[in-house]
Amino acid sequence: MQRNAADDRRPQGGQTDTLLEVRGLSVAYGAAPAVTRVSFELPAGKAVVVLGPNGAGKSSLARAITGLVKPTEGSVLFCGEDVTGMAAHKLARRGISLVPEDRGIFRGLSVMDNLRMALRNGVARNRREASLDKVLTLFPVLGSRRRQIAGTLSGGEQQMLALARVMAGEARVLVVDEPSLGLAPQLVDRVYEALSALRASGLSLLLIEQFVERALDFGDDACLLSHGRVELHGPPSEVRDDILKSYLGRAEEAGATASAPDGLPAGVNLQTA
Amino acid sequence: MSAYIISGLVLGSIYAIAATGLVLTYKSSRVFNFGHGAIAFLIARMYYQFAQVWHWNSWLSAILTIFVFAPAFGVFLWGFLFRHLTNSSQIVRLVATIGLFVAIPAIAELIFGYDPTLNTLGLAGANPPVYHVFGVTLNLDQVFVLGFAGVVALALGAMMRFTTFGLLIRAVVDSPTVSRLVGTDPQRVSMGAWALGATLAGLAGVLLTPLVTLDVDSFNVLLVASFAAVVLARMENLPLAFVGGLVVGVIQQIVTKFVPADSVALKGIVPSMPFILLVIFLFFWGSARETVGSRAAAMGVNPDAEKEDITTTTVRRQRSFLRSLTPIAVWGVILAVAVPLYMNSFWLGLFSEGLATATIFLSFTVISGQAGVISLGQSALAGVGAIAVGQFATAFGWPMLPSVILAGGCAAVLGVLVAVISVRLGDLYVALTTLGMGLLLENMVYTIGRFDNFSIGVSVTPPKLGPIDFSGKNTFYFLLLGVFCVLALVVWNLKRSSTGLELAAMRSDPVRATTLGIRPWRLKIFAFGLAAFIAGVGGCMLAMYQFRALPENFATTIGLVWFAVVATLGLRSIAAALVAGLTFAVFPQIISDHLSQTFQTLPTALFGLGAIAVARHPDGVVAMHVQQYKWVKRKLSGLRHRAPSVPDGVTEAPAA
Repeated sequence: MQRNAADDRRPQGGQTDTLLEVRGLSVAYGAAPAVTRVSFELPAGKAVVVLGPNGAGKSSLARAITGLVKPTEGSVLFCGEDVTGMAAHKLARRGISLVPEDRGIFRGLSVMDNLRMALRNGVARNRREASLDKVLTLFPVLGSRRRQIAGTLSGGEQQMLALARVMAGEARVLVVDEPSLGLAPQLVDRVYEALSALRASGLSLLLIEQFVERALDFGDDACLLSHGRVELHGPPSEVRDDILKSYLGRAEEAGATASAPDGLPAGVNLQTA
Repeated sequence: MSAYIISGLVLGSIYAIAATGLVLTYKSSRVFNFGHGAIAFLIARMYYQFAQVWHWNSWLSAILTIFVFAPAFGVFLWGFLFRHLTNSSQIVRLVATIGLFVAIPAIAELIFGYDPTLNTLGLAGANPPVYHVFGVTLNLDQVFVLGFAGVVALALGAMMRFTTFGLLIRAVVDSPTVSRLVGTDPQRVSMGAWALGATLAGLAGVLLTPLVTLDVDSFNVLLVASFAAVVLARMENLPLAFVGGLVVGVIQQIVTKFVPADSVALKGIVPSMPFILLVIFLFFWGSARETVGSRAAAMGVNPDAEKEDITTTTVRRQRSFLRSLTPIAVWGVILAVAVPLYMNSFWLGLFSEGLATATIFLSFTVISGQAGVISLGQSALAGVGAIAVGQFATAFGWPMLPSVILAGGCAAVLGVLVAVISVRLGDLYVALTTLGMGLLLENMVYTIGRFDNFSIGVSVTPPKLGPIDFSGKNTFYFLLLGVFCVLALVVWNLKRSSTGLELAAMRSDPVRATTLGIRPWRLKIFAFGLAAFIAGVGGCMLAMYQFRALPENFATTIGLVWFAVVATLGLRSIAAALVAGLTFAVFPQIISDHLSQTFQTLPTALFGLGAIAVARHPDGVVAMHVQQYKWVKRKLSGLRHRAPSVPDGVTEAPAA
């Protein structure tokens, strides 16, 4: 399906249509449930943060929304259309983009080829040049490393490239899974600056994080997952204290019992083969 | 010298075209296509049909076959087979392409007729003009080969670097998941790669037609030679695969210069040069010791983790199958012992052949069923056993029993040697090395006069043991049955032993098995040795059945058909090995009794298609066996008790 021109898609300021709606979504790996009946809405141009400890089902939620795993129950609506269980590449062409934990870039390809791949599916031929220029002005470091193989970039630069490819592909919804993972604090600042810039450009964000404070400062709406279920949901100003308490409480609990049965080990989430 | 180099370049060009096609499909879908040569043969056979049987314009025929039919066939194979193998394990993919290797030429001959005396012409027609370049004589066909190779190299290079399709292939090779995330369907790209790969195979095939006779074996051997280039390129590097093909061709021709003409060495060394190079390249990579699998494992990514885990499910299933096997074995032995009572001597002879073949097939049960590795050299190892027993028992006049055991030992030593070279490199390289070993033996050892004995082989007669003379039809049958049962017990015991458990653990997850203190490569080497011993003894038995140790009966291509048969019926089960042996001996006989000459390749085609079907439904056929057995058991118990039995919840549908 062809997508409309970007300008039509981008919401006007102040508009709060629901762009992405998740209704009662469940994911299971065989008999092991990972996500159980999760519902939330993502309005256009806003950011929802999903918080939760390791194994809470955050990454599985991200994978189900972006089509990498098929949900066992529930539905995903994008612009009011049911896109549940649609193949990942089709969702990507419609504008739902995932930056997974391991960055989601082609490590063996050059920076330029990474961006070309993103432009190919999202952007009409005559606007690719302009889109590329826009991205490179936002991420100047990539411009100077066009020919470098992406896998040899530093961790922070790789994350920038991942966000740049989302921007280049003119996605409408970005699902980003732990963008701060494995980065030095300074670089985390840079990543969040880039995310803010993306949101300012009209992108809607579903941000999955473990850094509670940081994410709560960023999001318009917050969601705490625990054992695959939504435990708390609301604007950060309202749920902040509860979430922090829940987090600390869980940490103490986990410390005391040494191992919390969290449904899934962290490793299975988003390792790409 | 320049003459050798240029004729080497001609041959090398064909290797190069074939090798780039193989690398391209391997890169984009992780399937190493053993059927590449078979596709080349199919297209060449088709070209021959159009251009020479139906007298169409040769260029029109070439364009139709290479650029229309070949890509369409590639897309067909992708849609019908390879698309479904994305999540399969390496062994299943190999079974599938070996099925193609076996089935495609047989089907081609079913369609176009079997005609071994094909006088084939190339694009240049009946009397190609001859040119003299740098003092070398080249005909127009050879010039075309060089020209097309150049075009392929430039076009592919430009495509990979500058076109969108090239970018897509590189992206999908780099990460199928990320490709999906940016909106590219990796399957589509893979389809394109298969179309292109089949086109390159077809091009190689049509270019090859004027240079060799148009028969399956010479095609397969020549295209297997391009495997050396593929190994040099480590399956991945397109330019290196191309250059490697040229190098292999040139080296092969230069060797001719230094080997005295009319010598045995010339007959052996020149055709086996690619396989010698293959082994050298493997040694080279062996010292580098880093395979794709281990690299992925080191990165914490288990390449097989996300795949549909057929190994574990089959392990689970196999338990119940084993338990249910015991009554089958009892019935089987009773039936088998009674065979001489109800069969005439002709069918008894066929059953004897089947038993001898089944003994060899037990080696597949060990190496592929238990160790989870594909060896394509089991027929060659059986051949070594046969040759050795011919020497020991007949030439040296030793008693039969120690001769057979020693012959098995010879095969075992060779098997261990091959395992040591290849096991650490990964399963795909094991398959390639064993295939290379088989062809090497075929060219270098089988042709030695002492073994070949003017193409009649050294005679091997069944032994006398005290008062019993095993050369009688019945007694010989019982000897074969006894040998099979003893070896089957060894295999059965291996499955039950703690080594069997370790093997099962290793099959289901090599990385985790290693953390439990299991050393996979040691286990595999052990399995290789045992399987080679069994194959060697089986080879002795087959030689005794044929009254002579004729090496050419153990050709590697025959071994691939054997493998397809066993894979169809079940690589894990002893009963399946027995049934496979009997099928292989009896089925072609039934076909030739009841159908005309046209259908003589039908059994081979069906064996190949069977392996393909298994690859598509790896769980299905085993499940089907269990189901059928349970059905028989229900019927039998129903007969005994004259009471309806309750169906016991087998839910799987039988495989196609």
